[in-house]
Amino acid sequence: MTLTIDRQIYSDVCVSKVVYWLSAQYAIERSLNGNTETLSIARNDGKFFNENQLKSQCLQMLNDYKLRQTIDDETRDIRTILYAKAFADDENLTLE
Amino acid sequence: MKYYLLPFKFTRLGDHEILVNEVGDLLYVPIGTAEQIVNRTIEDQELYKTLVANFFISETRIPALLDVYAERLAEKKRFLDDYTALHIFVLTLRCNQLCVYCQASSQDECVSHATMSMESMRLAVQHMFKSRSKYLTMEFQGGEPSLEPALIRYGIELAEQINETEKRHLTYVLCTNSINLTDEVLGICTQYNVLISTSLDGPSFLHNTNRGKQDSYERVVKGIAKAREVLGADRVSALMTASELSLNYPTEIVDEYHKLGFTSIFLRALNPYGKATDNADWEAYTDRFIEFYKQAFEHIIELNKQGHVMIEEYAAIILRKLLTPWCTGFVDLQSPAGIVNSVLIYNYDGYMYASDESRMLAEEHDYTFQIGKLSEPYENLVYSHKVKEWAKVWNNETIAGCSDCALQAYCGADPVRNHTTQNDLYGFRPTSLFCKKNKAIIEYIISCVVDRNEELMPIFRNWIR
Amino acid sequence: MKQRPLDINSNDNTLFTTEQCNNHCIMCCQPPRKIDDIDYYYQQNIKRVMLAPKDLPHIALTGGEPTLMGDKLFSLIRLIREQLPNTDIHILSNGRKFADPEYAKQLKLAGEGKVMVGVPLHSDYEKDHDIIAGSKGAYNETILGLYNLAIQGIAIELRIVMNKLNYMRFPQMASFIHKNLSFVNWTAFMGMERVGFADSKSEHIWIEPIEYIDYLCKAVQLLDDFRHEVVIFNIPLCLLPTKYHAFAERSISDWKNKYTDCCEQCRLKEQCCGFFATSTQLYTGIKPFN
Repeated sequence: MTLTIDRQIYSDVCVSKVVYWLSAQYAIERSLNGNTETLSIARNDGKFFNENQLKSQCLQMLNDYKLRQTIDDETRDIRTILYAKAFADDENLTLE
Repeated sequence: MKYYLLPFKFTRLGDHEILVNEVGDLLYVPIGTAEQIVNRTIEDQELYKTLVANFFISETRIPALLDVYAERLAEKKRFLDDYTALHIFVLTLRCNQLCVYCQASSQDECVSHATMSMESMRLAVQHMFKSRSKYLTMEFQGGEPSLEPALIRYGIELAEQINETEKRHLTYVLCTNSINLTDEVLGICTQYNVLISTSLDGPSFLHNTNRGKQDSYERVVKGIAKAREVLGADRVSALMTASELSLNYPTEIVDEYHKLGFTSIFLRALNPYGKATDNADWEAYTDRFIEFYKQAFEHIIELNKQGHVMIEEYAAIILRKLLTPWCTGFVDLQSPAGIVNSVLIYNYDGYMYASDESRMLAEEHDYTFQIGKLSEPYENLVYSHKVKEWAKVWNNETIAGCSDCALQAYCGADPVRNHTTQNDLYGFRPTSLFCKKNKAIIEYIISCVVDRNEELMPIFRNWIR
Repeated sequence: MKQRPLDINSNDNTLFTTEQCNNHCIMCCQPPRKIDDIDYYYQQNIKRVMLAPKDLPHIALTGGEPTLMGDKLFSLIRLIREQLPNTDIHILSNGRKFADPEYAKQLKLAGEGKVMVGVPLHSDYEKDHDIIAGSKGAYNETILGLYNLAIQGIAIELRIVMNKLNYMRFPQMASFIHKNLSFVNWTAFMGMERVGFADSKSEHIWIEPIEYIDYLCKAVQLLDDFRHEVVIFNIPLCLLPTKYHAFAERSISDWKNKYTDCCEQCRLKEQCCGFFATSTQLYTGIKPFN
């Protein structure tokens, strides 16, 4: 089965994560043409699978990872500060 | 509405979504909430307030109470401050049973070469005190450690002597099959307040089949009774391991523990090491174990509802992580991993290992997690290049498949397991049975808390200590 | 204001420290005044402490906001420690000054382990707390103050005055306390006294206990499930489900405590806190246990 993904909507990171989780059961070939990425998906064990269900699952996963990426991007700095504060040795608490 | 995101994870669980912040606080919300939060389209005002109060979002770019949040995060990882608290001394491979799943690759009772030397014990005890932890647990394993009372006594007495100046809080544990609890062994236990941790797989037919000897169950029950009489019931605990046969008998195993007066049970899966790897398909085992766990768990709930005390230890740990702000010290589910940070092994062969499973790999001539000779200085061992390499992959916050998992705060990293089952320290989550098992059980426990709160909290509240 | 004499038989012995406050809580039964009265009460309280019975079990420092005394607070505490070595000291404070870690440290040194600070928390959500406290920035300083008190090992009582603006979040507040403030010695959910602003601005502030009992019980249950000490003040037993009677305390100061006619037939009268004599109206829904 093939799945076309708009790379202007879903970043390489998003697509890679979906491919990561699918690769347990599926062999996936990726090809990028301009802003369109095409995934050619086949089951590792050659068994039949419900294409519509897989497409819908992929779309759900892509959306989830896109959301996670937004959260990551927006919170990267504050997360670093949080961890630095948590594991530094300074005893005093102060208001930011 | 203007606000800033703070780091959080999300996933779907049944008909709901769960949101988890950086310290493992969980919110149970309608599906689509994470998207609303990111898009700034939250309609529920009270939910909005809860998100701000619990550090999911912030009304200022830097939260005014960031130090408070940082303090909470530090508390969750407090076990790091204490450093290695659990020290396992594998005294011998000698054993008097032939358990079908034995991870220890036990040799016959009479073989003597596979026993720790006094010198190794001396070095090991000294290494133990190099850890700065205020609480040190000295745990004796094997084979069957009760076959080496002289070694046990020597080790404990040495520890007591050193502790006169060190002044740590020492706990001794003897992991025994209870078959050989002689007066001499029980004498040591009485004198030094040694806790007994024994193995009981279930009712007699099950236990005997697992142990490979027909009278094992009777002798274990006798041993438990004797230990309880001499040391007190609260000094004797039992562990079970679910063999393939065990998976057919969830309620029978729980009932057996209840019948023998135990007030807690740890529903443990087999680890894929030692003789266990000769057995069947691990994927099928994992699926069956998950079912087994749920059935046993429901039966435990029933017992609790009838007014009996029966705590499931794995669930108690997850509940503590899920529902309290406190740190949890369970070496199998930790990030940074339990290996070295929380547990060290001093093996009969004179070497230090990263974990119990690590020394079992060595029995199969896989020395990946052998840290070094006990005769080497502590710093050279624990800060060696080998250990530093493991440190790169022992956080579930940073490895693929775990870094964005909503259950991250409740789970852990296990490079040893990854290596054993996937031949890769880093691990490949999509096929990881460690991941599959933990995910299934953690999600199940979360569902119990959110969907059956009124029914189960009165029971769970007594499990969380 | 005239202070009542310290009396060993009373359950309410206080040293009033000032009418000033840096909060303006909407339900305050002692609305603050801008008046430079710290020295006046300080001198008066020194005398009161010198003349107090030596075996007074507790003494409370109230106001207004006692920490506005600055370092004089520590002098007063040191005097109490010296003159009344067996007396526990309870300071009612909004906690904001303890956001300064040094101030918390000084309290620890002066108090010698005999001090408890009672701090009101109006909500887990910053803006709601600040609205109820009548001061922007109150929440952040109070939370930080609580942490600094905890770091110094000073005993803390958390006080939640139950009103129309916060009752719907009692369970969320309980969860917040459990997760973030688990170090407090106990949490007290307090029924409002119907005086001052609570009465004159009642349509904004007032709510009958029967309307919030469910929220209260949920919150109490949550804290109790996790073994946090929790108490209910000023709510008569007839308004509480029996399961929660154990959490109710006889909390009302004796000099303003009263019972009503139907209480005479109630078999639980001796255990019950009754009502505020100072309230302009009784709670609705009262009935005796036969």
